[in-house]
Amino acid sequence: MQLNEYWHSLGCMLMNPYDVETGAGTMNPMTTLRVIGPEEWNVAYVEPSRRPADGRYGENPNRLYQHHQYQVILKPSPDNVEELYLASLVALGIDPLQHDIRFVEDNWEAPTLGAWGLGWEIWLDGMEVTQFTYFQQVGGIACQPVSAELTYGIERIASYLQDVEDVFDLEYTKGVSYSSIFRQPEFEHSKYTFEVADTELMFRWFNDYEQEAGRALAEKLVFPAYDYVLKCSHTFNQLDAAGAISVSARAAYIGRVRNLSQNIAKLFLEERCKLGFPLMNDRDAARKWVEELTPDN
Amino acid sequence: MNTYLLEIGLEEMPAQMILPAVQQLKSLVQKTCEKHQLSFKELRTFSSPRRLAVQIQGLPEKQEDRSVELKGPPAAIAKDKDNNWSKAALGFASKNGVDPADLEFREYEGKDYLFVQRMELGQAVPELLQAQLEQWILQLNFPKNMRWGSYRMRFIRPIRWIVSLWNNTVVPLKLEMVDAGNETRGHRFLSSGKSLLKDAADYQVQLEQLNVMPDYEKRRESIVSQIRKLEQEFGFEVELDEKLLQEVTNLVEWPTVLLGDFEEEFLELPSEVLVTSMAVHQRYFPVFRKDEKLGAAAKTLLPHFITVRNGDGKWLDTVRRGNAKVLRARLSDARFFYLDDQKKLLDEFRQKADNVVFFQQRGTQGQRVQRIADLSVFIACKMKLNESQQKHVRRIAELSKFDLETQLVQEFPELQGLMGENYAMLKNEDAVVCRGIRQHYYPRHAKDFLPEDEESVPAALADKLDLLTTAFSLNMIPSGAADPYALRRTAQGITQLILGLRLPLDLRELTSAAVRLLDDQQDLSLERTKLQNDLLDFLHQRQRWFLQERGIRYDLIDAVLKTPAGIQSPQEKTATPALAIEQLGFAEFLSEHLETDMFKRSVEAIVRAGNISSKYADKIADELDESAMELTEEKNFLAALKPILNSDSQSLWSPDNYLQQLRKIEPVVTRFFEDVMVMDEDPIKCGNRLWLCLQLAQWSKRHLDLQSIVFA
Repeated sequence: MQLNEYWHSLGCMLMNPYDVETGAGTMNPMTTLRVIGPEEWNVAYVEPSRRPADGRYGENPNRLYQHHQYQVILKPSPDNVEELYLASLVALGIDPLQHDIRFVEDNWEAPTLGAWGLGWEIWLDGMEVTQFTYFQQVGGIACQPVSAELTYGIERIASYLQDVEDVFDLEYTKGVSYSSIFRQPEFEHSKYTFEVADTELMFRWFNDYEQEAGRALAEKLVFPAYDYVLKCSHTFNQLDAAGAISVSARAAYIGRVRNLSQNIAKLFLEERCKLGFPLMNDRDAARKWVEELTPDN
Repeated sequence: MNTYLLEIGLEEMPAQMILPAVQQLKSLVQKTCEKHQLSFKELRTFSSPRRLAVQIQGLPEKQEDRSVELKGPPAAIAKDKDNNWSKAALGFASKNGVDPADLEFREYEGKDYLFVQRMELGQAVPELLQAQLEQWILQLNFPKNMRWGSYRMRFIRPIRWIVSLWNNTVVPLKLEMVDAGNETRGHRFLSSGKSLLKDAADYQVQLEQLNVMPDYEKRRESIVSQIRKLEQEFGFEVELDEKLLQEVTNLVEWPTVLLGDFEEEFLELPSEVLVTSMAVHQRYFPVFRKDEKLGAAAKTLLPHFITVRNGDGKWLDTVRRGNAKVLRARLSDARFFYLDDQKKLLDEFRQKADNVVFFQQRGTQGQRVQRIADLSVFIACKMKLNESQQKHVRRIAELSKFDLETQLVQEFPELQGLMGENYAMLKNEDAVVCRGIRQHYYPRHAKDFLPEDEESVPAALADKLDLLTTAFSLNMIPSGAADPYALRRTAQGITQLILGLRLPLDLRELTSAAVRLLDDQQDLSLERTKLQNDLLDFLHQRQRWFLQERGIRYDLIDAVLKTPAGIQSPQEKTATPALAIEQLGFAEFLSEHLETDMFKRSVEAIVRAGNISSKYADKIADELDESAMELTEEKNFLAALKPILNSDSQSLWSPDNYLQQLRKIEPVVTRFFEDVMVMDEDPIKCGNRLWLCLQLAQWSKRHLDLQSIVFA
């Protein structure tokens, strides 16, 4: 895919989707955790993203239980990041002179992650094709340096490039339609979420996952703990979509996930610090960071 | 003459923050110029999504030389015993670089001090500006700032370049991420890379060559005239919402207006859904059939939209097709929700509200609706609505919030009420009930409509009273600027309803009922009196606001609001309090008579009667002893007082009757005070006279507190 080639040529590491259910590319630890702390981090990957509440039984031309995001993280955000992004559109065959491309303010917030950022929706002839965010805070920790996150909506861009109205009319590869691959899972997941899911069981799962995340945290195991947070988060989304969570309870569940996320973010930073921030090229700077962040020093 | 230009180049700023930001920049520059007595011919600002700029034209080469007067130590310590300059005086001179021979004595606030005149050479203007540049930038305030890259600075969006030019030379400025220079950027796509700005004076012309219109007004005008041209060409009408126009103007650097279409079948959707999809979500201007007779609300939508592209007139077809596609997707979504919502019964949505929490610890949205319904019926009784009206009132209240659970309103929250009306109509509810679902939100702000139907009024009041009561019961009383639940506006709405519709409702009864309903339903054991007094106090302030908006004089507002309905005190409990509308009536009526001589004399006489009767309260007769009345003035007073004595001591007179009574009694009382010694030695006579004064004062005070009136 052109985006892979393009971002790879600019020095991004190409990563893979995460193997635990995520609601967005942002939730992948390649983003959530790595944007914390001083280490450089430039990656690109596709993320199949599950949004149970957006499930429409495969009948809606725009909304999907699972869509695909192309996620790019540039840390620290380069000075010419907007130009880099626009050039990536050119790489996709979108000539800015033939279209109307606009940066429309959109501030991003993820309450379950204790995260927020500022940026834009990028409109291509009136359609939002990318979320562009400068992360300001993740897991309750101020981002320093700041990462730029580019999240391309793959189905949207593809339907633009292929000039189709309905996402299911996309051609996934020559002779194979999006519909023939994804319509069945879309229908089944929607039916499962809205009609079949055993919510009692899921409430139990949520509690179990939360507990296990806490246990992993206590053992200072960042990544396993985070996996369980993702599971909590997905379970919560399922329950929410099924209408099983009232508004007040909703805030409480979000608070529980956020609490875990913040502890994990803190622990991640501590553990990276203990390792001496190995991904930093500037070793002197790395030592300075370690000194600054190590208590009693 | 010289020109200075500062351009701050940024990544795209949020549209609504651009004009306030450039306004701030302008006033910072103005302040600098005032402080340094810098004259200039014109101060212009420019702005676009990617730049904030200020251009100062007609600047001198350097500041004027000026003579400054400096004040030194007091004369008493200026000379030593040999009459030579003292250390203090010499120190003052050397510190300021002046010859001691130029020192002189002058009086300052009654004491002598040393003074000296010093010539200050004007500074070269570029140098002077250079010292200020950084502060201009750093002092710009934004509601939300950000960091980027590895820099420490916080700003609205990342700063990418700075142009700082004195005519054709750079006035240096070093920021953490960028040095000022003479290179700007043109339009993101229509020009490429960096471009040299040759002269500060030609900023606008040079940028326009780079396909950027940096002048906001010009950009706006360009959009308007392009739209007007389309109107003429196609014979339709476009509604230019000022806010949308401003936003769109601030989303583009080079505007090209284009017309697109959508399928006629979508016109079946409620027009508000179409307008919201276009204007709010896509920033398009909706297009209407031209019809001069109809008001904006009744105009017919046409299946077109107008959008403004940030670019030139090439490839417009692609842009048009793309935009039409997005709109089509949005409208299909809306139609899906609209049709799907219709499959359910209204009561199914109401049941969903039982699972939605309204405020923590204050029950569900369903319970809130129950309270609104009960309170509405209570209000309907007070308004003396008949039985069939009351049925409608209850139904309106019951259905007032169901649409919040519909998919369409969850997608378009701004359509609450409107969609409720629409769906209820489809389910064949009574027309007055359907309208009521929409109207119960009125008024949503100070200039908004009031409900047209009587039947909508109780729910409109009850909705707001319940919100206010619930919030206050959780101690969420707005103070200062913070008012996250818009409670001030809510209370204002209550005032607008009662006073605007002249409803004979007693706020005390209303608040009491609202408090009771909440307390009983949620079993909270609230401190009811305190809560109710907090509410009344809050509503009282809004009432004051309402009267001020009507242009009523402050002293008259005080006078009417100080009557018993205003502040509840135990002593005054016996008198029936004035209703809010009665207070309004008095204020409006008396506004016209306030400056008449008769009224002035009446105020004097009644205030005097009030003062003397309260000062000698212990000497007032319990009952009047007519046999002891000898003087004509006393007898006349009593005669003129008769209508007051014969009326119910609790009830209020109409403003008109009140004034007529004043007119009759004023000469008598004035005469009485001129000729009669109130404090007679005879306690019976004295008691009688004080009694007369008391009756008059009490009667008047029921209506308004004349002591507050101030005459110029």
